[in-house]
Amino acid sequence: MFTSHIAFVSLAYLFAFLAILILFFSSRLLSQKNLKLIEKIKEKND
Amino acid sequence: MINRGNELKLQLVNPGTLERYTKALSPWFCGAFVISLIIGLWFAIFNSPPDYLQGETVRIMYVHVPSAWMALFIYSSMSVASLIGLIYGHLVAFIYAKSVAPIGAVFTLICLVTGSLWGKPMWGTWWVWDARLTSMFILLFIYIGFIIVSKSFNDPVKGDKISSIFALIGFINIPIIKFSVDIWTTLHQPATISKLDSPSIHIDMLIPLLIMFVSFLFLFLYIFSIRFFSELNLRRYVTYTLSSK
Repeated sequence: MFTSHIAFVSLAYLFAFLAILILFFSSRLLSQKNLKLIEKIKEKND
Repeated sequence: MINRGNELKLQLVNPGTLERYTKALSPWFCGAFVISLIIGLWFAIFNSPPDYLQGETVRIMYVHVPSAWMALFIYSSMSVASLIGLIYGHLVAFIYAKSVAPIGAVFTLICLVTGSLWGKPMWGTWWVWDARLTSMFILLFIYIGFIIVSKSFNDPVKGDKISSIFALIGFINIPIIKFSVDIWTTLHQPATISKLDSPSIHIDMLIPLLIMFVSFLFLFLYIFSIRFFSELNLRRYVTYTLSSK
């Protein structure tokens, strides 16, 4: 019973960690993609 | 005539100024998140007592409850921003709502999944269609709906207005979530922390809970600073391409 409780706790923390990690990396990726769009405009204007 | 106070307010709602502030504060938010997360996890895993009934499973609370608070807080702030955007037509309010919606959706998902993982050993089931769980599940779909609606229009101005109306309609669900445990008989427990008299939780459990909430708040601010900057750049690009056509 004790081990099974620890397994549920570990799964909960692992899921939260992975979800936050995916949110962080997707946000960074999106930010870099949109930054490239702005750089494109700057190159065009130059 | 603009006095100094109003001048400062005008500067803060200027997208360029806000961009500079978020860029400068971003590393501080990241640092504060990491430090508070380490302290919070240390308290939550090693330095808080097991519950006399639930045993070690109670430690799920330190992720589940702050995620639920964040999900509700983010949606409420999104609704306020949408209302401000609709009344004053200010770009920053619309960009705020659009940038924070995915963060709120992730916190809602964390709340639902960790709640399910807590429910199995405690209630004997992964899921029940009671008022609290169902209204939280609906919140996830409202977040997803808002994200889809805000991305569905070529004209960003039209998209902003319609998604803001959608956010305001969805706000009806927030008091339903909050008071669902008081109005209906639910398997989910009633409010423990936000009670008018005093919280019915031991201080040894309340401290890690609050530290984890602060940590999630800094995480929100950090990811918001990334997404706000990203959304602002996208708006600049869309405005440029529309004006050059």
